[in-house]
Amino acid sequence: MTTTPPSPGCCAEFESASRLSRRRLLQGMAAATGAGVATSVFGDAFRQTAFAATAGGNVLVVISLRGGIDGLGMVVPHADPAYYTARPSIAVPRESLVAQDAFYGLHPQLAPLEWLFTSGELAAVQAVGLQVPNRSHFSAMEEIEDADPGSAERRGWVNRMIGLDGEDDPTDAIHLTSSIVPTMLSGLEPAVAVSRIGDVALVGADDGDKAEWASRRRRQLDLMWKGGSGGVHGAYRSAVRTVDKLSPVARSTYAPLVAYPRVWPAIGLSDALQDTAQLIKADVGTEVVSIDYGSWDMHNDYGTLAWGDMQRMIGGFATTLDAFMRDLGDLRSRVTVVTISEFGRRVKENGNRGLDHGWGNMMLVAGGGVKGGAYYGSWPGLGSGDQVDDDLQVTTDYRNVLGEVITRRFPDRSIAGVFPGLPYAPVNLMH
Amino acid sequence: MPVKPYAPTKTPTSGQRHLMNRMGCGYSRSTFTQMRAAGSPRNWFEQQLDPSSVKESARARDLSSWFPDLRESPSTKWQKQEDGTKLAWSYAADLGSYSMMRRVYSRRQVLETMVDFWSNALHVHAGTDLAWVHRSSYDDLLRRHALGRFDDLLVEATLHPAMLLYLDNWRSTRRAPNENHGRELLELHTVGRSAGYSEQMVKDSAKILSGYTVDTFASWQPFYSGSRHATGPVTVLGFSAANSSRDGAELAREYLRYLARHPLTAQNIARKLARYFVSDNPSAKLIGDLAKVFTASGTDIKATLRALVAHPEFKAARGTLVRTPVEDFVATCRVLQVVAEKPTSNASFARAAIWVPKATLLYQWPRPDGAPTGDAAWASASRMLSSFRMHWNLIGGWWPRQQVDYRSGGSWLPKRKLRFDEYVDHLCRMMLGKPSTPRILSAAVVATGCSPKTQITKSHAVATSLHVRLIGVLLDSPDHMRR
Repeated sequence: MTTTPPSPGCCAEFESASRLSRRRLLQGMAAATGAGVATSVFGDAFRQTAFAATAGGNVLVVISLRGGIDGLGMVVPHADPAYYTARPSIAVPRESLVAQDAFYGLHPQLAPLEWLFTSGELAAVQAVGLQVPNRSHFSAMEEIEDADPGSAERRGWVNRMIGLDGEDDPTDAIHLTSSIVPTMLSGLEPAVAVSRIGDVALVGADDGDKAEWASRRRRQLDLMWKGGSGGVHGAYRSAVRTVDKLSPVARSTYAPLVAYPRVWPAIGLSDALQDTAQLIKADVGTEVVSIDYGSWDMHNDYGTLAWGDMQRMIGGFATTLDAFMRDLGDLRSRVTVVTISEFGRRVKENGNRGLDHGWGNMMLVAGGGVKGGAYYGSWPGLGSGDQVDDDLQVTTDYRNVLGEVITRRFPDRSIAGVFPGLPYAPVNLMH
Repeated sequence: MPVKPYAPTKTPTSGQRHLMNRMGCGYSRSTFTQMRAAGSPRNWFEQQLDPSSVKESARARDLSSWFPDLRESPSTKWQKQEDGTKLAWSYAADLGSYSMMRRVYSRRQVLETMVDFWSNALHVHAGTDLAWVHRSSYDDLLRRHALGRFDDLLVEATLHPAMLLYLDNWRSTRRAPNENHGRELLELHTVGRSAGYSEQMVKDSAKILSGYTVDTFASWQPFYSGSRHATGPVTVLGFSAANSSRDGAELAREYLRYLARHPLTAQNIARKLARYFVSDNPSAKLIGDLAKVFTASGTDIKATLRALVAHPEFKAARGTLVRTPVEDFVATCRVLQVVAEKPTSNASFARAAIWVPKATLLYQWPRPDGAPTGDAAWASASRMLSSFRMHWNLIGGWWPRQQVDYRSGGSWLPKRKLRFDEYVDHLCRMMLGKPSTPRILSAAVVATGCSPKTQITKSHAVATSLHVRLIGVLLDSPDHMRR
């Protein structure tokens, strides 16, 4: 999309943004046409107005199931007898599965999400992953999140994606659950990583500080950081922009429409999804929220339906995601949730009722734009001749799932820009 | 706003300060004293290059005994992890905290800096899969060779069980040499990707290394297994061998020495040094100059560092590199004169240190390429907000607060009573190693509401409730965020 700046010399930043997203365009138009805002284009008042005026941007929520989740135990191929042969003590019995079709069914602890499957807002893809097996947690995570195998540059796919929106707002992508920017958000474009939204705060000009001291603190910092460009100076300006934009959200008390689970192991996920719902409702324009939920590295104590880490972790996931989706209400149509994990696990159980590192995995896609109520992906089979080094084969490049979500939900981003060199072949799971 | 100097507090010259900030772990009063005692910055640097000649501080000497678990044998560590007594992450945290404490308290500042440099150039993740059981003895190895010769360092580091475990060489078999280590050795540790080696060379590199393995899940001792060594002719970037013997142990050593002395390795190490010590984008001339010395000296690290420090580009690049969060923590503890005591629990300052910078944990960068330095990685919004908060926690002594002495606000007054502008100048000298400027004074005035003429005593708010706000002006600044 291109456009002519509404008034010459309106603002250099606007002019330079020749690749405009819809949101960016509306921001610019608000600047040019909104009464009384043109003079302080980038002041706080403008921001509030602009964002209030541009409700309706889509949001992608990426939940990283770290540690390598067992996709076969989440999205169970009940019609493949090899699944039951390989797992004599930990297979999920067919009769317990929810949302069954003739071949697949979901782990019974996913029952809280069955309504989404039934209403067509939840889909699963099987046998997805990296094109070449990588069974190292660290390097597989890097590879999945960098998602640009041809390049030595460390820049993640979310960073490339937000880099294509024609602006450099540091709150375009936010990572919750830790203050370390994960690889998928790392790179050229500023992005924010915080444990909780409440952490977005400038020490000394915070909630607990009296207004006079907060104002002195901010003026003091602006004075010390005045001038200078790029590097730490640019980072300082990004930091205060982030605070200005998010601190009203960070400081407000959020009252969700439904109660989120408050029990281990879902507390971190519960906090993060509540923060995400709050951000979405505040409509600050964030496009991508990244959340970690793990660990799924179950070499032992994977367990059965009655006990063990797997059923407990899935239960935490499902009850929390259920609360989030209900809490969003109608806003769900703007929000697409995708899960990802660095690798799947061995088909065959090990001697400790657990599963070692494997290859092929599943992804869940829920919310806005999803052609739900169905299972996608080409099943490679679990027969001895079908496995690769005892693992489920990958038949769908995970980038094609993400690529399709991005293409459908953020049509102004080029797939080649987000996933360079990907032979794009959509799975057709999005409207 | 005109500055009224507080002259009795001496400051280093900008050249001295530069040397402390770049070649050491940050300016401090004690290192300044040490440098003055050495007679000249040059003498100081020479002494630093011979760490055993530098008398260690009492606290630094004690540090090893503060983290006794690190000295356990690999099999004990593994056993404790298995029975749940102490897990890998906890050993990794110990090593990180221990290393950070060394950087704060050691008088051998250049050694500590070079340990950090090599820890990233030859990175072994401290908490990952299996390598963690050997990670602290790998740290010992890096310390031994940090200022020695790179060819020795490369041979020892490559064949150390921590590296063999980290990059999978221990899994290599005669029929299926694992290519992970063979590749990273070329790409990361020596010649670099631009050397243009072929996939066949990567395979040959893996063949040469195969045989070096570890007795995993048992004694954890490294050993050479001829039956795991892949024989047959190999050629890697001009290194060729028939490789017909089952015992390829010596061949691997020859290969590593060959790679260590390869001209492209010199370029690669020179580039890493230049990035770490001079600029995010070092000039080709600087890299070339350092590579020349590296090669001519037979990969002598001291000689290369001498050339680096004497280089006009090093001298010109003052205060331009962003501090990593760990460097920031260390530098902040040094200027604030935080005194950690022997830890008694995970909440003790010395053991909690690794969590304080709120960034990738020290020695736990998730990829084999080592933690990054530079603006691209560390000049970010979240980093600024979290570093500012860290500064305030340390200035105020709010966290971590157990087994540690923080200086009180009033203790920084150089005399019973002085003007605010003099006090700001004194604090600048103490915290930043240089006199105040009109900008800093103005910011201090804004931050505290004091006038330059306000008389400050121990009971004044500036020395009590406003102390953190005032020191915050100095530490949450471009001067302190960069080195």
